[in-house]
Order: sequence, then C-alpha cells, then structure tokens
Amino acid sequence: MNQLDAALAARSFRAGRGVRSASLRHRRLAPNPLALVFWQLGGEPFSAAAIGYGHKRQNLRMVVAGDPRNRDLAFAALLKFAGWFNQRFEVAAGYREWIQEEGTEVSSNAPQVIVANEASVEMIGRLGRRLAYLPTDGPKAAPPELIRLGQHFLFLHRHSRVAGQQLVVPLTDFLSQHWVTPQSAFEQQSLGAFNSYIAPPAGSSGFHAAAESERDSLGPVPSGDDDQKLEPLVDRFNLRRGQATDAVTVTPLLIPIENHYRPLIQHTWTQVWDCRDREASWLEAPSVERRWQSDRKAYTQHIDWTAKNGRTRTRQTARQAAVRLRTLEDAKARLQAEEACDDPVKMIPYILQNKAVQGRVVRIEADRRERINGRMLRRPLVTLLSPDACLVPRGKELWWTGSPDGRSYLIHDVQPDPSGGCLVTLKLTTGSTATPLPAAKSQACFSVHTTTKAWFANLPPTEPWSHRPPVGEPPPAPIEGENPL
Amino acid sequence: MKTTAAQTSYEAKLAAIRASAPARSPTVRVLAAYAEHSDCNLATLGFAAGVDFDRLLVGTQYEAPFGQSPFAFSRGVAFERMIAKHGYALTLELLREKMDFAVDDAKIINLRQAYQKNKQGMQMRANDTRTLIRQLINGSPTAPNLIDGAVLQASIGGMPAFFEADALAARFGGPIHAGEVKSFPVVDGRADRDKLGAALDQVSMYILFAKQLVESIGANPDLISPVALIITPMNVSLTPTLSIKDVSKRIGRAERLLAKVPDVRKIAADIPPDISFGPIATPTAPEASRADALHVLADRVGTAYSPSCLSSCGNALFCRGRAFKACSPSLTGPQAIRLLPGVRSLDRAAELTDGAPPSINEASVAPLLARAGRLYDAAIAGASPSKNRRAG
Repeated sequence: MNQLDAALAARSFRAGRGVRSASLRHRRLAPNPLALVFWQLGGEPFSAAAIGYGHKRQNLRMVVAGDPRNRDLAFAALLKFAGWFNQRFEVAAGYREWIQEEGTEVSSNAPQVIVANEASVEMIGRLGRRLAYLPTDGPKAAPPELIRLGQHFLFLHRHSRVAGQQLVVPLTDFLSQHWVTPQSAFEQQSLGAFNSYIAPPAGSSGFHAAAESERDSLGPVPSGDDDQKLEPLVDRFNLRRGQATDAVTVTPLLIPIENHYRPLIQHTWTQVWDCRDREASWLEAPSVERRWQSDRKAYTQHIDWTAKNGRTRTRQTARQAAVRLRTLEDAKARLQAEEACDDPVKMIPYILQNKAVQGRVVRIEADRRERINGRMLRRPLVTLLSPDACLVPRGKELWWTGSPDGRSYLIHDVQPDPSGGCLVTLKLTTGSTATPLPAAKSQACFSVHTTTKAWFANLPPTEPWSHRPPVGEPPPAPIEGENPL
Repeated sequence: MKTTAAQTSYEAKLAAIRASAPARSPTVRVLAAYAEHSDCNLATLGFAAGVDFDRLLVGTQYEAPFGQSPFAFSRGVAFERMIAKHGYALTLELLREKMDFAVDDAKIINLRQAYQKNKQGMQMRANDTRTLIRQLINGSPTAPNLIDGAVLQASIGGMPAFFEADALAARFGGPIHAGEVKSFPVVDGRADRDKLGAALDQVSMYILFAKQLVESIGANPDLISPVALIITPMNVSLTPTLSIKDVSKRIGRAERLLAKVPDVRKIAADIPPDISFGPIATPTAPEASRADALHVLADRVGTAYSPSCLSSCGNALFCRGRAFKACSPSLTGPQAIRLLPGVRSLDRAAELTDGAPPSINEASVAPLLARAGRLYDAAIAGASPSKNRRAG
C-alpha cells in the first residue's frame, strides 16, 4: 500500500464502491479464455472433488470425482477434464511466427486460463505436482494425458509467479491491480467480496454487499458448512458403490454429489465471467502486447520441452535458482516501469515519492552544446514548470515517459518559481538528433522508470564452492588393494 | 496447588463474567490466537474469563465462519492413526533414520488411553508425565523413549492450565525433544509457511512448558532440546516424514508472550460486578438485543480491531462492523493507519484528498493527500470503459 492507495481507499470508503487505480487495463483478457473452477475436500489438498470448466459463459461443463480420496475415482474425473483441457491448451502451439527481437519462432497465440482467486492457482500447482511425475509403466501406470495435464499445470503455476504474466489470470489479483477498496488484502482474496465492493448492487453500499458475499466460498477450499452437507452424500456414495470404481457403476451414483456441487460451481462461474466481462471493456494498455509476446515465448518453450519428453526438476539447482530469481526480478521491474509509463494514474505514487517529476514544458534548448572531454557536444536541455516543489536531487538519472526505452536525462537544475511550483531543467545524455524530445508547451513526465532491458553478466561456467551441494566422504581405500608397489 | 479462599473468590467472579457464555480452556491454539490481539481489552477479558468467542455469537449475522470440514478432521485422525500403527513402527523408523535413535530405543508409553477425558484425567496424565520425565532424566532403564500424548501443566496468567503435547521423545541418554503431528504436506522439502509457523510456535510452547517442568523437578532445563520435531505427510501421499528445526528464537518469543498474558486475578478484581457475557450468548434472545449487549460491553472495555482479527477471533465480524460505523482507518489495516497519521476517519481522509483545510493534527499528512487527490483527478479524467477495445 502506498500514499495513493491510502487516499483512494478513503475515497472508496466515502463513495461506498470501488475506485479505479488505473486508467487502462494492464493485462490481456483473451476473447475465449479457459475458465476453471475447482473444489477440493477440506484437508485433501492434492485432489479435485469437482471441476467446472469451459471457454464461454454459456457452456459450463462439470466433472465430479465422487470420493476424490480414492485414486481411481479422482483420476477418472481428471482424465475426463484432461481430454478437454490438453487439446485446447496445446492447439495454439501449432501456429508459429518468427519474432526478430526474441530471435526465435514463437506461437502466434497462446491459451489463457482464468480462475477466481490466487488459491485456485495454488490448486493448479498442487494438482500439477501430483500428476506430472506419475509413473508411465508398471502396475500403477497413469494415462499419458494425465501426465501432460500435470506438466501443463506445473508450468502454469511456475509461470504465474512472473509479474505481469497473462497465461493464468487469478481475478482477485487482476482486480487489485486496477481497483482500490477500503478492504484489507485478506478480505480482497474473496472474489465475491472484492467484486461486490467494487460494484455493489443498486441501493446497497459496498461494505454491506461485500459482507453478504464473503459468506459464500468460491473454491477451491470449501466452507465447513458445505463439507458437512457433502459428507453424508459421499458416505452413501461409497456404501452403494462398494469397491467398484468403473464408470458404468459409478456414474449413476454420482448424481446427488453433482447436485451438491452444481450450484456452488455455477455461483463461482457467474462471478468469474461477470468480473471478466466488465474488466474486458476497459482499454488495453500499450505495453500489454510486449508482455503477451514474452508469455507466448514461455508457452512455446514449455510445449516444445514437453514434446521432447523433457522433465522438470522438483528441486532447483543453484544455477536454476539464480536464473529464476533474475527472471522474476527483471519481470517485476519491467512491469512497474511499463505500467507507470503507460498510465498516468500508475505514475502518481512515484511522483509522490519524488521518484518522478511532471509539469508543462516551458523551454527547450535543442541545440545547446557543452564541453565534454575537450569537445563541444550537443546536450539539449528541457525545462519543466512543475506545479509542486521538486525534491528529486540534482544529477539524478530520469527517463522521459514518452521514450522510456531511450536515453536518460539528468536533473540539471531546480529553481523555485514565483507561482509556487518550481522550474526543473533536465539534460539529455546524448547528442544524437535521432532521440525525440518532448514538444514545447506539452505536459511531460520524467521518472526513474526505464523499459530498456537490463544487462546481466553471465553466470560462471561452474558453480562457486558456496553453491555446490555437499560432497560425501570419499570411499575408503580397498583393504586388499592392488599391488602396493 | 492448594485452593485458597482468594482463588475461589476470583474464580467465582470470572464464572459470573462468563455466565452462560460458551466456555473454553486455554490450549496452545487459543493462546496463539490471543497473542495476535493481546492489545484488545475485550479479547483479554474473554481470554481471562475463558469465553469461547468462536461460539459466542452463533445464530447472529456476526457468527464466525470457522466451521471445520469433516474431511479435514478425518484426514488428521487417519494420519495420526497411521503413524501409531504396529507399535509406532513408522515413527520409530523416522526417529532412527533422522535422529540416530538406536534399535532398542523403542519403549513407548501412550497417555491418551485409559484416562478420563476431563480435568481429573488431565491432572493424572500431567502427574504421570512428570514421573516419566523424572525417570528419563535419572536414566532409569524403564524410562520411555516416546511419550504419546504427554500432558504439561503450566500457569497462564496465574491460572493453572493443561496442555496436551503430541509427543515427547528421547533416545537413551540424549536430550528430550518435543514433537507434533500435523496433516499438512511437506512437498519437495517445502511446507506452507503459515501452517509450518503455527506448528513450530505450538511446539515451542510445549518445549517451554517441558523446560519449566524439568526445572521444577530440580534438573537442568537444558535437558529439553530446542530442536522441534514435526511429523507430516510427505509430498502428495500420506507417507510420514520428519522435519527437524531449531526453534530457540520461537521459544524466546513464547516466553515473552506468556509474560504478556495479564494476571487473571487482577482482571477479576478490576472488572465492575455488572459486566457479563451472559446476555450476549443467550441463543433465545433476539439478535438485536444480543448485539446491543456486546456493543455496550465493547464500549465499556474497548476493542482494537485490525483485519488480522478476521482469521483468529470469533468476534471479528462484529468489530469490523463497529470499525465501519466509526469510519475507522483500522478497517483497511495497520498500513492505512500508518499512512494516515492524525486523521481520525476515512471520511475525513477523503475530504483531505479534496483539499479541505487540515486541523493541526492532520497538518503533516494533509498536503500529501491533497496532492494525491489533485494528481489523481487530473490523471483519471476521461478514463472510462470503452467499447473499442483491442482484440485479444
């Protein structure tokens, strides 16, 4: 939470509904996403009791395991789901295009999975962990579709940690990037409560609408009451099926359990699509395309890797961990920079923290020259009239939001202005005439954010001693050794 | 502990405060929940009087949503049964593998069976635990290596209370470890941070009580190891695994937490005689009158709402409603309070973002809020959902 969030939370409280914290939409919302709704049994984290799925609001499908604690029943339900999911998830990888910046062929589209909340993403990760490493031979061999589903799920979970990614969109997370309410982060984890506060029904205030909505669990962890209603149904189901797990016996017995889950899944389904459709009507930010491209690249790599029977380690090596951390930090920094440069509302916190300065351009000295290493070189100056005092120190390196991937500017001078604001002069750090300058009399903003890709040193070819796993004692020399001579 | 006239008088007074409200005795969980909001007077009063806040408001709109899933419960039971199967074979194997227990370190005593499930039973189990620990310390050949369901007695705010530790274990001649069985999984060597933290806090509390016990026997409390043992399912199955963790820092924290628990006698003496939870807990009374009674009580003793209460206090929904009525920044959380110093309500903060003249208390934050409001109004102008969105 920053100073702007606190101000907007107060305004949201007064208005009794959500307040935008972005003037654009900063994530892609694909036209036909794969929407998933999960339910587990309380305390059974690695199996899905029921899954609702579909790529359009009108055709919700659903699969129910009956008793997911039984491996055969749980896998039968997941297999049915995998038949639908795998095909839709993989189809985009068949169409490739060459992307110059990436230097590789990349799928021209990628699937997008939408879920209600962060807990559903965790559920995807847990299911993936369970399925991806199942044996493919032996007495308990698992169907290959299940293993592929597990690998896709593991990938989605891993990729979900990359800031600004759009392959799997938990809507609570999406909303918190775009809206502010006076609720705490904990309360905003409930999509129903968050959504109700943002847009309460007519005549109701956000607070009361949210208090009403948060009573219903939207999955995957059920409320205690729901499971108490379910328990007798599962007991009766187990009693009637005996030891049988075949579809012919089990399918008719599943009906009462399906009837239990249908309203729950339908409720979440409606919330997910209402929320998604409302948010999709906001204009997309320009740099979403760049992030979608890097999502497509990650997706393509994943599909190609699994096609080669590639496996994923459950525990990273030191090298993998270092690369992973670099990827995550890089993505986060770029996301912050891109959002702030795209969207003036997202820039406000940085202006308040004196990490950016904005104002009207009052003077441009495009042909100014100064002596550098004995030569007179072009170093243009741009002067802004900022309405507020500027506390950014002289010499600080800033980038113009009009070309955040271009060359930097330095704060050259700050002078108070009789109007109450101040005159901030910035110096461009290149003499190249190809570099654009802001237009005179326009509004301009300079910030610490740049979207140029940071340069990283390569990792050493071998791990340094501090990162090597411990080596065991060398085996003792053989007692009856070779000829001692 | 001998019962004196003074003790009965404060016990009677606390019973009068509790009246017909649902009761609970302090367990490590209750203590941990209380530790999260020990700055709340209402919670302190309820804790001292032994009122079960989770059930206090049952039947009203403020009822706590803490119902447990029967499936979660049965999973826990199944796991505990599994590790106790065949004479604790799996547990002993883990202890041998990871804690260097010898093959003949296998004497097990189960204190869960053959005792009544009431205060007398707990007292007897506590006495037996004490005897067994003494045997262990003296190196007696009959001493157990594993006590399942050891009961430790401790004084909480001056009141005696019993705590049931899942296991105390010691190899012959080695230090005594406290262990806990949990049914959340450890996947690829990693566990859910919150759940693991809660489990380690729980064990730290047992270690602390065990140290007090050893000290009262007259032996060196360092015989109790600061290394906690946690048995959990491994990866996606129910196969048990043993995690070993040094919890010295958490033991220190548990000690400070216990020291912070106010003296029950003092609370009993300070509370006016007409305070009682009875009218709030009456299920037959109309909801409005129950809520009103709690409002009166909360006004008299004071509360300290924060969103973290929502996950640990049964009265949280009630207090959140009060915070909403008072327009308090605490509704949003401690960060909002820190970012709005001197501003008494969210409504007032909203006025300041519109540039309202600040009072002396608000002077430090008002310019920043006004600037944030002005920049926001300029930046958001014209932004609205539009139909000409780009295709995805």
